[in-house]
Amino acid sequence: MTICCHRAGHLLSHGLCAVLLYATCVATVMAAPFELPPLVTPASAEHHVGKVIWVELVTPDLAGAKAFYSGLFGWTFQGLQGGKADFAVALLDGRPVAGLLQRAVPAGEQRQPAWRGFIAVRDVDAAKAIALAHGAKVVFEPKTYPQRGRQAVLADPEGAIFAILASTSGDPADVLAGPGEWIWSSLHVQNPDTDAAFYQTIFGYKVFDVPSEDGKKHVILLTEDYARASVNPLPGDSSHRLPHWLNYVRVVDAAGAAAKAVALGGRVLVEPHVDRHGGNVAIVADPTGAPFGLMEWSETDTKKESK
Amino acid sequence: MNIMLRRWMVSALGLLLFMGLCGCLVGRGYGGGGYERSGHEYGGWGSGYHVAPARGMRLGR
Repeated sequence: MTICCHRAGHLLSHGLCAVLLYATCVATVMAAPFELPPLVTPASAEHHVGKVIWVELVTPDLAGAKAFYSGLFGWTFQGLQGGKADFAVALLDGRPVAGLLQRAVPAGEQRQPAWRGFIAVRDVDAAKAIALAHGAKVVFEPKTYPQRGRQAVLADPEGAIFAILASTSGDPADVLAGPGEWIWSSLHVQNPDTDAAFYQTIFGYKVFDVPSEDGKKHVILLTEDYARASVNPLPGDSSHRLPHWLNYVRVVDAAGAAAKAVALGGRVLVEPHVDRHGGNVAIVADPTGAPFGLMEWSETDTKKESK
Repeated sequence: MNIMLRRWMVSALGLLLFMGLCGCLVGRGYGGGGYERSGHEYGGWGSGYHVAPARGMRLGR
């Protein structure tokens, strides 16, 4: 009887050891920080405050998003080190172009999957303080990811959500985006003048008025003589529309890309049409409803615009 | 249950609790991802509604 009890105890202690070992492994993985890759490789000393330097998608269906964007833009995908299954980095010709993050939509809630732009700052906490002093709200508190840098997500005074990032590896150089890369951003708000002034306070933008055919105020935000984004009044009956940012991928043929987006399960939100610069622009949504723009930019302009 | 086994179990439980607490304190969540409110609508973009940069502006992305 004593021998039997002793053996049982021995087995139990071995079992406990195994459970402990397993629990330690699980806890280590669970507690590991989110290892995001650097923005620029090799690291540079360039900084371009006010420039949208990174764009990330929040989606409930990472696998579906990969299939859609791979088919549309030829992006390939790389998981994060450590095997996190809910984040992927999109690559074009081996260069990182975007991040894709999978998040479950809270049960019973209607939420908008979206592409979020990260605007460059030198000091996230200082930028956050200025933003809060001018009517912004914090969506995600500042957090440091060793390789990427420090970032935070804020809502501007009208509620449009944007992220700020102080990149550890420097900011991407100011070169014209190629097809399949992010080329432009637009902000759609109730009052472009007031909201542009808010962003000007944080990022030091020059605000440039542009003529418009709808008789409303449209402005372009610039830093270092580069156009960074437009600020536009929400069209139509804007009381039912939410202020938001939109990001645009450069394409060779906006109509063709929009048709391809539909064939891949997306839908067209704004039909391709000639925009201010003379090229076509279309707004489409991916299969989960995340909107983004398709913008043509001619090779003539490319030569003219390249630094 | 002998005393050694009981000590093992108490230690194991303590360690598990400690690891759980560490996990919570370190935080593994990504502070960047989150959905926006529904309501992005795109009707009303007439032909005069322009969002692009003006012709001749320099773009850097």
